[in-house]
Amino acid sequence: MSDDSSEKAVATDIGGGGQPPTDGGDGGGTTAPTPRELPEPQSSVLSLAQLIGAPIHALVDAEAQSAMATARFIRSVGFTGNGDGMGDLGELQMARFKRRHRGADGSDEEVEVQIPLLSMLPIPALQIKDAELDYTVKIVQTEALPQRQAEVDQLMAAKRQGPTGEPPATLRATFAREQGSNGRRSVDMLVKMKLRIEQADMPGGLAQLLALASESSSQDVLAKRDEEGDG
Amino acid sequence: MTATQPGRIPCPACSQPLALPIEAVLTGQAIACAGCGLELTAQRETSHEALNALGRWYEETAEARTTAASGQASAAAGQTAKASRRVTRPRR
Repeated sequence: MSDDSSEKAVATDIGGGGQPPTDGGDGGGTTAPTPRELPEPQSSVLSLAQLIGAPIHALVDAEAQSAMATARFIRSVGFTGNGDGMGDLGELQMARFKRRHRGADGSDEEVEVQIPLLSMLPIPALQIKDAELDYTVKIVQTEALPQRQAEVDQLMAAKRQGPTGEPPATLRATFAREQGSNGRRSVDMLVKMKLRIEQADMPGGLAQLLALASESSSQDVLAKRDEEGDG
Repeated sequence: MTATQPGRIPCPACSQPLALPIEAVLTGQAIACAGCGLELTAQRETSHEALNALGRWYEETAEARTTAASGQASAAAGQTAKASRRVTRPRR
């Protein structure tokens, strides 16, 4: 049975009014289950919590991956150690520059300036500024899970809560199909997701790292030439 | 000395912010401080590993920089077009 036909079967069951399915599925040779005959949960039918939670989980995962990419960048570009693994960072990667400097005694000095590579590059650190999720779900089944039922039974035995003492139901849902522009049902079942990504503010730890990197800039006199001696 | 702004370091002589253009560092051009005239030149022979890493970063981000630059250019062109429309709008 395809997802399409499973959705139709469930919708028929929940509707329960004997109305024929209207979602334009294949329909050929599919026998609609009788009322009270709930289908087994299928891959497209999840608990409502899972359905809502999955895209949110994906957002958190995406942010974690972004943070890991930033960390890998810092390791591979900013340090001399092997940037692939999580082993030794090695030393700060320093770029060396040369400059001429006139000393206090009038002599010309050649000075080496060491600057950490990390302070020369923009460090990519992206974060999700805001996310807009638009779900269209169809509740296809309500059930009380056995484990939940046991917990509820225990609670109810101790103290009956609520006016009826009914256990809370778990909702099962599937993504509902979008209405097409011409009034026909579309075949798309989508979660609309709109994200705004921005360069993250520099985290405190990273700012500290850059400050430390900056402090490790150094200058060494390479050679000293006496002006008179040169002339 | 702080260098929390990437691409800028305090000048080693006068501590004014000194921009380090990556192209100039990679090509070995002298980078001059606008404050004191100090000139810095990358030492290729002693910075081999660092310059290689910098070169890899520069190559890998070339496309992103081009895209960002074209996006900025088209945004600027849009602003200019809007401004010129405002200027040329006839008065009643």
